[in-house]
Amino acid sequence: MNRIQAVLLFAVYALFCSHSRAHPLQAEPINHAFVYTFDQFNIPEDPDEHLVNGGLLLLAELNCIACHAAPVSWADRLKAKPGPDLSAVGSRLDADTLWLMVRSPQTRKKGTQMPGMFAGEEGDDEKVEALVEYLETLKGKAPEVPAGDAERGRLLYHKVGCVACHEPAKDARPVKAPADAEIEKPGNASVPISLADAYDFTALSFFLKNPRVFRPAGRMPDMRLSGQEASDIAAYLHVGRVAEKAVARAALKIPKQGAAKGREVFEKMNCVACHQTGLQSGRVRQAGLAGLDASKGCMANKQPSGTPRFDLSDLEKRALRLALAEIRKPAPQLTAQQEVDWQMSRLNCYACHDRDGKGGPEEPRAQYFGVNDSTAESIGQLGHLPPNLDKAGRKLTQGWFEKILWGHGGGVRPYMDTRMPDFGQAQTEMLVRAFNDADKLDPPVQIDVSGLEKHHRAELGRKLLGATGLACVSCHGLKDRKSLGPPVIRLTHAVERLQPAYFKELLLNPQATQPGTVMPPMFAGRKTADKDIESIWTYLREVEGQPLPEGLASAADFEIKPDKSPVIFRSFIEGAGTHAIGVGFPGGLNAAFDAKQSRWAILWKGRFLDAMSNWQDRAMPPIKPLGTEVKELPAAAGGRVFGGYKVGKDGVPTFLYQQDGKQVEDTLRPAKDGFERVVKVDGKETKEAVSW
Amino acid sequence: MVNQVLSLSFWLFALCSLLHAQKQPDYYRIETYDLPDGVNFEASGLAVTGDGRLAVALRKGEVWIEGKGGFQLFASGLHEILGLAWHDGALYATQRAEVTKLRDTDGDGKADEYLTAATGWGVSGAYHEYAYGPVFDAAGNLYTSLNCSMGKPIVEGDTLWRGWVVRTSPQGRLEPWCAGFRSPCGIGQNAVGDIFITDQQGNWMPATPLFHARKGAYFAHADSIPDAMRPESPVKIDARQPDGTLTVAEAMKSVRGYCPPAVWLPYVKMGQSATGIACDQSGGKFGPFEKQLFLGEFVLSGVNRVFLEKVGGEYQGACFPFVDGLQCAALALAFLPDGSLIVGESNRGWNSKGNRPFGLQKYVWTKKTPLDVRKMELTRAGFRFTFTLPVEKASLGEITGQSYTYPFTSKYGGTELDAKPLQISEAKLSDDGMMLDVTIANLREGYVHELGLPQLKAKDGTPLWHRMAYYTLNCLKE
Repeated sequence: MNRIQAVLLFAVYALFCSHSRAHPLQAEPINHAFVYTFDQFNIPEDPDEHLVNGGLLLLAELNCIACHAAPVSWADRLKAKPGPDLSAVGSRLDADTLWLMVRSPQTRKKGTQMPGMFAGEEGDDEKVEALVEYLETLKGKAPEVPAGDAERGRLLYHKVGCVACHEPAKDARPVKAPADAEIEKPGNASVPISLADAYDFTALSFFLKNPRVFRPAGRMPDMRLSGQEASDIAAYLHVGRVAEKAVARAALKIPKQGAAKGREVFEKMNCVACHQTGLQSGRVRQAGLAGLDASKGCMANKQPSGTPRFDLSDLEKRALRLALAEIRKPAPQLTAQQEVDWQMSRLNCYACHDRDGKGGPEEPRAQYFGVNDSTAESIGQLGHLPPNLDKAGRKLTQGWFEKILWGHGGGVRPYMDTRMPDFGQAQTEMLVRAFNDADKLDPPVQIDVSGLEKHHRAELGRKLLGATGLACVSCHGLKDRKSLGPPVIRLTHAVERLQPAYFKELLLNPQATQPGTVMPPMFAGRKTADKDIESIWTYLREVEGQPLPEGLASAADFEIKPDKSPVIFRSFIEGAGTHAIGVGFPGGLNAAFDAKQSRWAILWKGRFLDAMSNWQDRAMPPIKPLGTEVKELPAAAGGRVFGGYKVGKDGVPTFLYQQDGKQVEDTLRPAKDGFERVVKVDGKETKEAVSW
Repeated sequence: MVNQVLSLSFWLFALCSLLHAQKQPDYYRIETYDLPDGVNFEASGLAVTGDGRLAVALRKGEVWIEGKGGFQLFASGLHEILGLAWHDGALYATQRAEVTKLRDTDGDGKADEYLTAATGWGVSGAYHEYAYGPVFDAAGNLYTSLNCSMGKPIVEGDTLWRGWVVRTSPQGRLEPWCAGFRSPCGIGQNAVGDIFITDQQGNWMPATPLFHARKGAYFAHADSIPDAMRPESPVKIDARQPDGTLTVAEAMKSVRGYCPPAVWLPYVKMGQSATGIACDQSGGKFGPFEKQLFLGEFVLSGVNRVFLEKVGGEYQGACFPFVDGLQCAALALAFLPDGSLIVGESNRGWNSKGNRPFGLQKYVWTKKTPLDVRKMELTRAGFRFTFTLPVEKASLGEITGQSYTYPFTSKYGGTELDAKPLQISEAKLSDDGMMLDVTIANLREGYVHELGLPQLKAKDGTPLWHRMAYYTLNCLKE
């Protein structure tokens, strides 16, 4: 077979074979280098002033300045992102897939941002073969991953947020969609997943769990999957998988080129400008970005061979031409909001989040976002869609931003199926400051959170939160307690999470602060609003170790259960006075001794006592026996002086007192039909059965 | 056991970014105890057992003792313990209605004897009826300080000796001892065993007082008056007292039986709520303030320092800020045998700057000596300051000050009254730099004398740690 035949064969194969296998996820192919937010926010009708920003986004996301240096003032903004790390690519992809991907990335992976470097020039076939040989040598240790379940994977894929960017499957209906409804397809193109089926299963599972290890740019973010979840989704992506053979490669019959040559080509072709291979390599610098002729090279209408091929669409070319003209001017200073918008566009935060009316998932995708707690249905889209980011910069504390963006434990909406992915600190840390600057309120809402000069403020705050206060607990849970109604955000971390001024701003005027919130305006027109909000803040700040608000707290939390041995508990007890000593026995017999009159005062059956009064309450009201059949015993005769008690090996207390000068020992023990009471007076013992 | 927290700012930043972190000089470091999991360790009483182990009482009614591998539960089921002592081979815990002697007679590490050591004061069940102590005198009598009653009672009128310090003999006989307290949260002894009480600003307490408790003394809170009319009362006062018409300085002279505090801790300037009392008898292991009193400060979550002297037969003296930076309100104080100052913490029911709900920490002297006022003694002409380090003469600048008294009133709290600048005519540093004699023309009895020292420096360059000193002058020097 000669070269022409081989190229033809490849072309025919590319046309007819590549997409013949129909995984349910297969989206309509995209025939240009795909940058999600470019396609989403730019259309041919857009005027140049708008489109130029799309062009700048392309310059950045297509990594133009990896080869063409940007003018200094633009360098930071247009910074290239690290391309896929190829240091173990030989363990992930087989030689044929590597060959197809290198030979013609746009064919193998429609929509890829990787340019094709080999148009069929003399020697290209050998170079491609050499590159494949080199890449095959790049092996890594096979990670250990669990076996996956494709059905679970299908559910997860549609639930945790993958469909915000990737295509929902034809065989997966949104949970809430009526059975007869037609499922609308997304209007925006989806990010292709065309290499997933070529990936080794182990590598794919590992990749889904740790995407930034292979793709450090974080454009495929870490969805915070467990190992099992990653394997389940990997199994789903492998459904119907058929290993692809590079027929054309076999036909070419290129002799072995040697990995060393491949490595040389890798450097010479400037693959190193984007890809890490674990080797230190120099990169080749091309002409500076500002000096490029926008009608030539990859921008030419008819692209000359030997230039990188991106398959840019006409709209992309127009945008890039505008951008190339723009960067000849000094870069303008971005406002904080523009910085936020820029980074949200680069990372495609807009796929899930709306900010100031821009972005958020389109309905055909949003319909897959669900809740795992049916009570959350009642709060509508607030329950299942990721939050709107208006004012986020003055809402969240820096520490909480860090937790959300690249740390752990930042999630406060456990009822929501989708997860906030981790794009990596390097991609997101600039957002913390930019958000904060963009959303600053000048002057900020004044809130006095010193809490020092005002006593009892935490307690006032607790009362306001409680069921008979402002009843915040109707919707908000706290710590391990669910709310009494819908499960909106628990207040456990409010103080750590929110800026105090925002907390007050929100409470004073919920709708203006957070349009669409279901938070009622509890403080509108309330004279004591300032103080009340500050008191609630004070309580939430000191919530650890504090009693819970009424409605969430329950006496059962403090119930003393004498399960194994008798329990002695002194407090104010109803029926036994201010010097009461309760004794609860396993088996549901209880008594209380009045240490003031030195006598057994009450007996009861069932549950013993609740210690909340002693352990949580400042006011310490008397405790009611929790059980039933409370029997009051008659007053004591004679002058008695209490002396204390001794606890036996069995945990049973023997009460000591003097009666008319005589030393008395008085013990109750559970017996057949109640208690047996043993009384020793000056050493002389009498027993009586006590039943009621 | 002890987990070192090198910096206070760690806690403040970690827990509440709103509090500004204070730089803690490195003279005393704070160490934080690891506590048993799942226990609200509201440490309200501290004692050291005969074999040197730390025992801690919790508000929830338990006593824990430090052992190998952490704290072990020793006693439980008691009614809000607010004080703990070791005496004659046993622990004594003060509950709402009783001081209880706790012993482990079978050696299994758990108390099996809960014997009544003192009881008999009124307990109506109102929320404010806290009981503190005990402390013991040389004869084995024990002393308990009792809050006056406030709030809704369970048993109407059962308020005998509320607002008093009562004394109970080793045989269990209770006698009233001194009266007029409001919320006498701290009870402790100085190096010679005299008993001191801290009380809380509020009605009849215009600022935070430190009282010298002695038989028959009366400290102004009028709720004690009815019981003082009982025949067995050692407190001899009139059935009515003026309210809001006199200053404290005037009341000292005209209200029968009224004893002013040995030291006033001016409100806010010296904190807002004095708690436990501990006397440094470590023989220098805690730094240069031997035999002085240290008072817990609840709201500011720290410790203040008091120097006392006897003038005209009664204690008076000065208070100084000392250290802060605790994670939670200081409630109970005690010295450990190694000379470290342990602080039991809980802020249930009241705010504090350290906003952890409870805990246990200690201050350990780093062996670095601060430049500070060690003693502030009254002289005929003014005050003599004695320093901890020799002071560099060149650093001696202007000394300013004022004196003020307080209203004698049932109104809650009180402002500083009749304030006048001190007329300071001379300040003479001794040749060795250790003593500074300040001459003041207008010393006044019944007034707090507040002095601000200049930014002194020790001869080795150490800057003065605390500039402010507050001397309560009840009696001029003859």
